Amino acid sequence: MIAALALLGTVRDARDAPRGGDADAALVAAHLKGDPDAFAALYRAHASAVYRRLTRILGPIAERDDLVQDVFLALHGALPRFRGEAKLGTLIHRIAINKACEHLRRNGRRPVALASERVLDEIALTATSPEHRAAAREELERVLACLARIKPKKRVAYLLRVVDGLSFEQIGELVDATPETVAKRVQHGQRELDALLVHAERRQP
Amino acid sequence: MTRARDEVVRAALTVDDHLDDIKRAQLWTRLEARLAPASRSRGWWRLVVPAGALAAAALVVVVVLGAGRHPIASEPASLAAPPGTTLATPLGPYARASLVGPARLELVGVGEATVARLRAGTLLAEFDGAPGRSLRVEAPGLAVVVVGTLFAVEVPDRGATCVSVAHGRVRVEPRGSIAPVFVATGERWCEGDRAIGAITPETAEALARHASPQLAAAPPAREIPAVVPPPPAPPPMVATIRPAPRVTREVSSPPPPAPRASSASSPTPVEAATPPTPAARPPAAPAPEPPAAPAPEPPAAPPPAPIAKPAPPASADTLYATAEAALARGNEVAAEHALDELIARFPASAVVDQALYERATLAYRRHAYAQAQAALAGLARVASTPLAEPGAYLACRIAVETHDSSARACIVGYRRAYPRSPHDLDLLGWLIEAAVHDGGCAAAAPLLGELGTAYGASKLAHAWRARCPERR
Repeated sequence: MIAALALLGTVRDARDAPRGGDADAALVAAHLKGDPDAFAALYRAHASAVYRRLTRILGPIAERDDLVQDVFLALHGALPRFRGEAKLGTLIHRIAINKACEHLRRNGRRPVALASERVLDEIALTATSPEHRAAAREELERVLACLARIKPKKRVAYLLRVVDGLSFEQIGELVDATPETVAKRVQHGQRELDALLVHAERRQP
Repeated sequence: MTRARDEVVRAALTVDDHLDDIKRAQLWTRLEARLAPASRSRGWWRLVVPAGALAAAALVVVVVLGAGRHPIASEPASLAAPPGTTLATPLGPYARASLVGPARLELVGVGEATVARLRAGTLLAEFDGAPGRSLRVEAPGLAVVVVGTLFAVEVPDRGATCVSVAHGRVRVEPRGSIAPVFVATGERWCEGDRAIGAITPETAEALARHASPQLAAAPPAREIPAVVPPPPAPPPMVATIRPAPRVTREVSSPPPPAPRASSASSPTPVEAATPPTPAARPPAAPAPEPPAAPAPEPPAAPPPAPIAKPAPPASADTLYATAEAALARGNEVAAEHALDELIARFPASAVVDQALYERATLAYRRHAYAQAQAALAGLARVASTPLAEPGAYLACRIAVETHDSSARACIVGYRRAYPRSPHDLDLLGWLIEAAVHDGGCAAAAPLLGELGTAYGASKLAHAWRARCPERR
């Protein structure tokens, strides 16, 4: 029993583990047959992943809550046409990425601050001295502001690669592009970000 | 440089990417409300089509007659109040609103989750909150999310949009900003403000008038039936137009307001009678006194000396806000006190389920399992709360940690009730561990099979493949 307790405390990371497609398929079938609880179960299974995906593309912005709902509304509308060619998880992530891109396009390329004050502080907290902390914060804000100026497709490809560590093939599956196209987008995204950072650094007093 | 840059990006975008149980449940409530009309519309389109033309024509067209003016037709699904008038109307099934002209309001969605868009003017509203209900008011520059409160949103011709709260608390989401702003009883916040200020006397008085039907109805009112926008809102939408109440600072005349009309929704008389009297604020408006003395004449005794007013009685929202603030300061004892008071005094409040869950979590953290179980039992009695699932999970964890014989049944029941829960893997892992403890790997074979099927790529599955290789 004690071991079980220890286990309960340590397997939290496993929540993010990929889930088998059978359970999803059964839930989709049940939902389409009119089971009122099936969609709630799908939401429970994938909500955290959607939230994480949106955060890792858009940053910790307040609109994430609405976007999570938008993703599941779109999924709800798409399920009657879902034939199971791809995994449900892939479909959901595609929808999430599309919603994130729509959000980025809607908001133009204005340099929106991505992270809340608390988050900025949390990241900068690892710095050893107040001076280092201030510098870390500034650096962070600069990177985020520059990131906000990269076009959505490049930004998404770059972030899926750098933040999630996905392969070009995996990214291609999510954004409906060939691995070669994805590689180019990642490369361009990196270059643009570097150029913007250099530019931002020069403009600093 | 590349690596350092990538590190910074990674840190910024992963530090706050976890969706906790409460937020997940809250999002589901809002999503469910949005899904309901979508589901209905799929099957009902055949019935709706013949009525389409009628419905289109019947979209809210409120014709407002100002003094000596010709009718002004508003846009479909919108309400307009010309200068000098106040338009009283339900705002969805659970909110009563007054639109102080010149103003324009659009109803985006009506139902459990009502969404309104204030284009111009001032909106005074009282929302009767409960689990599953929400009211969102979008205005230029910000959006206000309401749980249950008496509040105002002002969109001036020029200048910033402002939000004032006479009772309760609202969450304001400034456009283009990440951090929400919480505006509570007696407070006012305008777009761009760095700090929250006190509600203005004029707004406090206007809200008091709005909350008091008798007062509001004092001038002769003319009712114009407006058309109900899409179906789910049960009460018919009736817009009442009356001249705008003149907001003055006269102390002499205003009659005492009657008890608030929504007292049925307010669980205790204390809450229902709470006047908008901001505590510890600069000289407040001559806010109407609570209706303790219904007699029209003031008592003969001389008025008391102008001493500082006592703090307004706490409402469920303010107690919850107190608990949140205490938690933010790390003062769990104060948080527990506030939550206990909320649970005891406002058992039918819209936030009681959150209070019970928070109370259980706090008790659980300090291993006060009996207290946690009592709070969870209370939570289980709350009808249709989205926190039922996290509450059930916590109950199972407590059963495990207290070596309760019901732990296994609890987990099995939970997994059956909430398939594909984010906690499913944790609990499946516990069941496997317990089965192996009792009868070895063979006894756990079915569960190991399930683990491999549902979570084959997880670390837990890898670990079990190593421990029970014969079952690979």
